[in-house]
Amino acid sequence: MRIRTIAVLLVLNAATAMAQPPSDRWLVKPVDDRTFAAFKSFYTYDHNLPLDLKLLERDTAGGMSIQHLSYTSTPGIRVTARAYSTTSGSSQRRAALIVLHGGGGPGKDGAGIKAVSDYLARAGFLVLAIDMQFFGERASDVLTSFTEAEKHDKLYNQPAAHLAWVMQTIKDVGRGYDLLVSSMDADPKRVGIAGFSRGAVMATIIGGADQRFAAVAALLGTHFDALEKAHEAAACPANYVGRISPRPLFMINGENDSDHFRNEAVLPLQRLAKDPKEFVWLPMGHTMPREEFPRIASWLQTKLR
Amino acid sequence: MTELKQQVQHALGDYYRLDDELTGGGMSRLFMATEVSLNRRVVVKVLPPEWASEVSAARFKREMEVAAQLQHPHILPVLAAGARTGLLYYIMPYVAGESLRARLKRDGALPIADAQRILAEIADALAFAHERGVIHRDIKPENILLEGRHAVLADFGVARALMEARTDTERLTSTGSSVGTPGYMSPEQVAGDQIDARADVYALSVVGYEMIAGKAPFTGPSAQAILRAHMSETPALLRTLRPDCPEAVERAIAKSLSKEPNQRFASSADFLQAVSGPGALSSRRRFAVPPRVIAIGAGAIAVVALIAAFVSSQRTSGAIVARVAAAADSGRLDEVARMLDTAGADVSDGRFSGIAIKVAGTLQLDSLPPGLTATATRVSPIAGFAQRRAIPLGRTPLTRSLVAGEYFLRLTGAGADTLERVVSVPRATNTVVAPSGGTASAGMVAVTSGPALRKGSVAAFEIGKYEVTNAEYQRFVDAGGYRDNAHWPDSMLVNKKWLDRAAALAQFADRSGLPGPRGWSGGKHPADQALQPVVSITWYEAIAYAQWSGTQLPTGPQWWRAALADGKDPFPWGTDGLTVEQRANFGLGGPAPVGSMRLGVSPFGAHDMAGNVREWLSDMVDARRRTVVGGSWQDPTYMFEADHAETFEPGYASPAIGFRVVRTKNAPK
Repeated sequence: MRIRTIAVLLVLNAATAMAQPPSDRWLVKPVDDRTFAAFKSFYTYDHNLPLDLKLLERDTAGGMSIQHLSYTSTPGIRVTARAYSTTSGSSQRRAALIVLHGGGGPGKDGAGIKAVSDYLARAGFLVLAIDMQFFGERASDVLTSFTEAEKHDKLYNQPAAHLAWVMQTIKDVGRGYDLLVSSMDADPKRVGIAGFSRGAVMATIIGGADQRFAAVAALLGTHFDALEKAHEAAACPANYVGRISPRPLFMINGENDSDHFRNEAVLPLQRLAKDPKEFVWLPMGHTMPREEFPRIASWLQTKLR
Repeated sequence: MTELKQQVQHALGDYYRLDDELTGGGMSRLFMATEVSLNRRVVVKVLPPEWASEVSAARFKREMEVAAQLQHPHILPVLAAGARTGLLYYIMPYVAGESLRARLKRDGALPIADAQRILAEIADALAFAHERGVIHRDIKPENILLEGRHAVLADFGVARALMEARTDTERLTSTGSSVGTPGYMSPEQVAGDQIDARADVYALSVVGYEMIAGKAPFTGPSAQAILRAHMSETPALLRTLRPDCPEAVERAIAKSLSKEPNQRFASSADFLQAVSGPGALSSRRRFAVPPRVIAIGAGAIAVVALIAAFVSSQRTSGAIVARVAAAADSGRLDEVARMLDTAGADVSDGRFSGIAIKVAGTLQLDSLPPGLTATATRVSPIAGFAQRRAIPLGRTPLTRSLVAGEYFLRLTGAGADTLERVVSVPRATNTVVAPSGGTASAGMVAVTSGPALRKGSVAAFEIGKYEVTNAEYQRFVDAGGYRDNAHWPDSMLVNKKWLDRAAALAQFADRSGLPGPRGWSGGKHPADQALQPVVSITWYEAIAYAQWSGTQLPTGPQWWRAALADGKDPFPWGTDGLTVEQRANFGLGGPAPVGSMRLGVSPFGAHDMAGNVREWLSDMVDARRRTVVGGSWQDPTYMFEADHAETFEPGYASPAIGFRVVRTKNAPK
């Protein structure tokens, strides 16, 4: 009786905790150059559209300035963001970062993203943490509870909606680059992206799509997460990751990550990346402990020197 | 007996017996006394005779009467007051403790947590007084008394009596000083302008600055120099002097010290929220509610009734209705609830029938067993526990109109343990059957049988109300749990290697090499972390503790049933996914004392199921893997979900992983 109970538990656990993510053909063979060139039309945007930067609030405390702001990305779409910088900045152009949050409802204002943005700013970067569409201050009725079920049912596993969302994010981040360089004294040659979890998936895509970013840190990122079923070619990180080179790519992943499985989702993506690349595996789950912040900052400092 | 003492004793008559004189009264004189009829100790404060010549007896008594109406846990009440020619005095309870001034003199800067608590408590007291139109005007460390862990504010009304008296003649005295204490006077107070609540918040922020920095923000060789500093100088940012000060607290104090009142917080309630709210990032304290707030439930109804009577005598019924209606029209539900609370009124009261249509929802509440007495305290995940009054709901089953929003329910009665949980009342009817499962062992809550999260069902069981704490785990360590072979398997998987018992146990050592969690030292938990969940222990250690304590680790189905009951809502508190960080410790600030996040309580009354630390389950995925669930202080919020259960080898230890225990009813204890 006891043996049978344990056996049932084993099966249940295998079915729930360790659901295998599906793969797709691009993970085996990414699209060719011609197909990839066609993707560009999805995310090309009007560089002449005014950014219409609005400063909503400025908070200066403890040697840190945090500007709450918004800017126009594409016609009718505004991006909300916080810009972190130390108040003792020099007059020279500075290295900058765009920080992309994960799947938490508060977006850029989640505790972890705030902490890492603050940390990276204290490490010398001008940090622009933006809300991705549907998250944080850009929340809408598309997502309300931000559970995994809702995010997957309504967004990640809706290939058309997902593609539109990914393309919008490439544009939002590109416009963030424009903002950093045109209005915030960022050095155009030293702007990187640091994304966490869902933001890391995005960073991998954006790194391959927008050649202006000089370094890409994809932290706790992957190809497919545990609950994703399918996505369009133009929204597949496998078709972008190999195009980040010759710019450097950095990935940190947890060996026990419940969302981004090592063997099925992370290693196959890493195999498609080209040099320079650096991959760190830590004995942890889908988490980014504070103790790892220095490792991230130091890699970025080296690459955006 | 000195002449003054004789005079005072004469004024007090037989009712009080004057004892020794105390020091520390400043210009005033303080005497210990005994209230003869009750044989209790009180303190008589006699104001300086020169004040007595300025303030009329009638005015002093009037101000004292107003002050005596302020019944609040952090306001030192006025028991009696008197005025005779040349003699103004009042009587207050004896506080066994010291003034904040004495503590500052002795210790210098305070621990951040202490400073934050004192600030929050005094801000709460001020918010209460300000809402009733009473301004203190002389906030300073001398007037803040520390009793145990709590602070009380003394001397309401005195400064106002003096100020009003002087305004009658001329605003400033011949020496050029207005009423107040130079170190704590707002610029507008220095200038002799009209002041309002913001001046009190300014003064409290000066006190806050002093507690955290260990020195006052505005100093000078003379009173005049200090006053000039208030008008012109900007003090150094707190974190430059005290890097461990939370940013939100630094910001709140800096804002409150603005020269222009308009640039400060509009109210002390806003300041309170800023120093103790979500941004204050003292995650271990965020929204932690002093137990007495909940305890107010039944016991303070008498006080509430007094306040209600006072308020209703102060304001006409019509005025309240008009104000509430205005807030209701603009959909400000929290404000409607706050005004009703202040007025001791109820939305189901006939006066508010027109308003109820706009703001009220209905709660239908039943319990198992029925007949429990229920109270509801309105809460807000953003503003913390907004309401000071627990609304008595009566006995279950019951149906009740409430201003739509979220409430902290408390059910008590025979045949069931007290159950606390949160419940949402929408602008419609919400039917809730509180599944109180009878009585549970100490420290546990009862969970009824019912559906498991995804399929199947779970038999009734008990689960730890909280994660196992360091203090609890200490008893296991002290009892020699690591030396008793009965609790440990023959071989254990640690760092990918199977080790025999002795070799494995040698790895399960604290920093000093003694048996215990990896973060401990000398066989002891860190002294200030007794109530934090034990962490940095392997699955084997969790199992050993459970065996030793006659409990088990939960299975997955048990854990999820305790967290989500029938699993209709995704979170222990319901469906709100945007306020997870206000309800569960996901803030990267480290583990918090168990039970700190009351708004995250589960339907069965289990705390911290979401966040704080991830918890080991008994389930074995296979010989090499065990499951942890619930998400931790180190994780993003979505890690709570069942899809994010993670597996580690049983010999893995992390500062983000702990456990709680269960007891199955028919299992041997």
